[in-house]
Amino acid sequence: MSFASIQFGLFMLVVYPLYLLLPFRWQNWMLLIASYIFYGAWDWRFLLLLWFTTLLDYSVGVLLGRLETPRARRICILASVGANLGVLGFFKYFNFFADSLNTLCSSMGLHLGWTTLSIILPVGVSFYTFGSMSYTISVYQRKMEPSKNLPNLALYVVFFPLLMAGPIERAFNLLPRIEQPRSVTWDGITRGAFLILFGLFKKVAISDGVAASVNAFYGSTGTISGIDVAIATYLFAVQIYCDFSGYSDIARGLSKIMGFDLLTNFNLPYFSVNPSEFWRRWHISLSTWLRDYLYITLGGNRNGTRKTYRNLMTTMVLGGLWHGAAWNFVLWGAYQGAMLCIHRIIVGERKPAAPPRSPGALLVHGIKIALFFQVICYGWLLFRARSFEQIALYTASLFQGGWSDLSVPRPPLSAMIGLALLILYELAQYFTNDAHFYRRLPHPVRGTLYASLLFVLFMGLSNAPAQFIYFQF
Amino acid sequence: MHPLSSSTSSSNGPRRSIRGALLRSACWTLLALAIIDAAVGWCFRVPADPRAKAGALEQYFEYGRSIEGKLQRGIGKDDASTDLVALAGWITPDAWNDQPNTPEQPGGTLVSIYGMSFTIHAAYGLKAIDPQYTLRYYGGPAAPANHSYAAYLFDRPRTKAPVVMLGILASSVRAIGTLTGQTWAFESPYAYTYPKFTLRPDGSLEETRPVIASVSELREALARPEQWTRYVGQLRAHDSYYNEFLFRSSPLDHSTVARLLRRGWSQHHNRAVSSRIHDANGFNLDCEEIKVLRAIVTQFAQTARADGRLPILLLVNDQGYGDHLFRALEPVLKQTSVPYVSTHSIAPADDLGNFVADGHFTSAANKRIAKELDQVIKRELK
Repeated sequence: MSFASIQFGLFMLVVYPLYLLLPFRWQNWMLLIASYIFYGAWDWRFLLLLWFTTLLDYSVGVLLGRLETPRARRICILASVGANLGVLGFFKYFNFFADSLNTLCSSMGLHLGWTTLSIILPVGVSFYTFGSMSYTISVYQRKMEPSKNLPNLALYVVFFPLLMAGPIERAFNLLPRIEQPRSVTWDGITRGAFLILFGLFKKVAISDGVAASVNAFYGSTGTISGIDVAIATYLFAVQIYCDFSGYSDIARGLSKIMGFDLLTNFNLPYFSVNPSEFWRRWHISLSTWLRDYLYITLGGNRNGTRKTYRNLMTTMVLGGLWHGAAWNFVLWGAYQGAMLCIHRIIVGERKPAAPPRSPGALLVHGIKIALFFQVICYGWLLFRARSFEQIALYTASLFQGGWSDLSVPRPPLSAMIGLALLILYELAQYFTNDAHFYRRLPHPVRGTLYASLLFVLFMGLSNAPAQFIYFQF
Repeated sequence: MHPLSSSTSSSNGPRRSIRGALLRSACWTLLALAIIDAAVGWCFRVPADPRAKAGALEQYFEYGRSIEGKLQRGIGKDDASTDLVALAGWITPDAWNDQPNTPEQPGGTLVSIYGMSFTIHAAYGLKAIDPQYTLRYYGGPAAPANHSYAAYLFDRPRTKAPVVMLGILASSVRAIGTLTGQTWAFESPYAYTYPKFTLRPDGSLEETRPVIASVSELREALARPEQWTRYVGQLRAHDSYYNEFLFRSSPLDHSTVARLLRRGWSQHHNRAVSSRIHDANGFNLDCEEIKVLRAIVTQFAQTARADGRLPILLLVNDQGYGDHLFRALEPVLKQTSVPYVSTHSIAPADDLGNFVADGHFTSAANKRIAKELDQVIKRELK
């Protein structure tokens, strides 16, 4: 049941009025049941896995609340993290490592005879596992009290707007909101409805629109030219941004209309001028999770320059692997880590420069944004490619020319108009430095903005719907 | 909790002002949407003359008009004032009037071809390779195999060709359960009709003929409600793609937004029907359409051989279909030993370099396909 489907619309037509009508003590039960139905609609068998994760982390939380000695607490949290990562590792990475080990041994003349298993990847497993782990780690770090209410914790793990692709809300942010009555206000409803509209606009009109062109090119086997690689990769940059940030917007919007405030997951990432800024703007819930629970745990930048670089590389490579069990994701993570290290070598500990004000400085800043966008896009090529051979071929094509033979199919009109509208919208956000600038517009202008988004969204309804990219992670 | 009663707003005043602002925003949004609807509809309206070429944007905003609405626009009072595409593909006695029935060169080979644009492009390539071929061609735009087979059966007593070729397009296999190109090609419906074939228990094919068989009958039916009702009733009963909301015209045809919504629904509806027949892994071999397609191939081979002719199949695996058509027909190709050319090995569907922007093969790919056809014909006629 995708957010951008008729089934989900019908689901919300039942869930939301019920949510508004029920008293607080029944709201959470209703949301819990609705979330299980939502998840079960994908594959009911994996509900067992969800229940296992929930029960495990609830028990660990209760235990951590009772244990006093640091050693016992450490053993407890290590067991919890190990079990969570074990579930993730088995379902997501078993075949990948078994395959890789087989290939490695075969290349050395050893035949292990291992076979891979027919394992189906549970949808959203990376997201809810990280969310659930954040609960036990927060209890361990005494940032929050263990939850005494299993249904509330279960709702935190399975809350349907976030279940499939985040944002990865920390337990100490979301759980207190689940445990307390929420305020549903007209203001929240209008803001939430706008986020839902904007998310659907990005997903349906733009992302689904360009997906066909990207898939046709990256799935093709014939001869390719440099211009093909460049255009298809730019389109993928648009696709993945609109797909994932669109999902996050819808998730935030759905939560908002129910009185939950979630963190912003994307903040104009393509306006970054360096990798450090990019990771403060892109998939913020994951990058802060990795920073807090992995990078800092490894020592962060506290143990000298060499270890800082090691920690950065380790964090980003594992972050890459989190996205999927394939070597291109590892390579993408390593590329991001290398960019962060290079950037750190160049600028050191300097604070980010103040935003440019003069026309000349703005022009220079714009050029920096455009240049760094090329660096981001090469990363997307690594991310989207299907094999190392394809990466090598496409990289070579970028330098070998063939800049006149474009064979990438042209995206539909909805994607092109939608992208133009999105760029204008984000430029306004960037220059006003206000994500909610549109709320200050006069009513007729605001009405025209909403109507334009709706109209382009309607145009995009004829695009073939593509699964949200991050569902596979 | 009463809806919205637990607002953080402490008094009724601010809440009322937020509600007022919301109402104003909603009104302005609806007004702006109505203005955009009217403005786009006016700026990008299609020409009244069915023969006049509409621009890309005019066509784009026209895609969502109901099928009836598009037919009423495209079918003029006579053939001269009717959209040229609407005149194509009808299986009528005069359809072959301008087609040759003897080789143009002494000792040359007459080849009768039934298919669609892909087939004619390959056939032109055949003629370019060896001018001794004379082409007797009939087809319809994006014609499904039941149209091509019906055209073959119609021409069977007339043609004198020693070689008969049937083109099958992978992306049109899903339309084997239809009676017309009006229903399954929603965005740019093809007016022509054709029989639908179903399997009898003994494996033979049963033919359901459409109640409208020519453009003049269609024109007449559009003007006579009782005839039109009968035709629509037949589509409703027998056509796998028929959908009331997509087919019947209504005042919604005047609204650009409504047309966009109907177009979106058409994609949803067509995907739902098509997914029974084909998915990313290939054709569903258990579906009725594939069983009928296999029976068509068998019948085509048997009847052509019984007539002393060489039957040839051209399997067109277009974009998005890999080698799916070939795989679906492989058992029946072996069983009947019918000579064939399948494009999947000559111009692979996953190589973008084989296709032009509108989805047809490039001339280089067509040459390769034609060369293969030439070799097969010469080898089999020896």
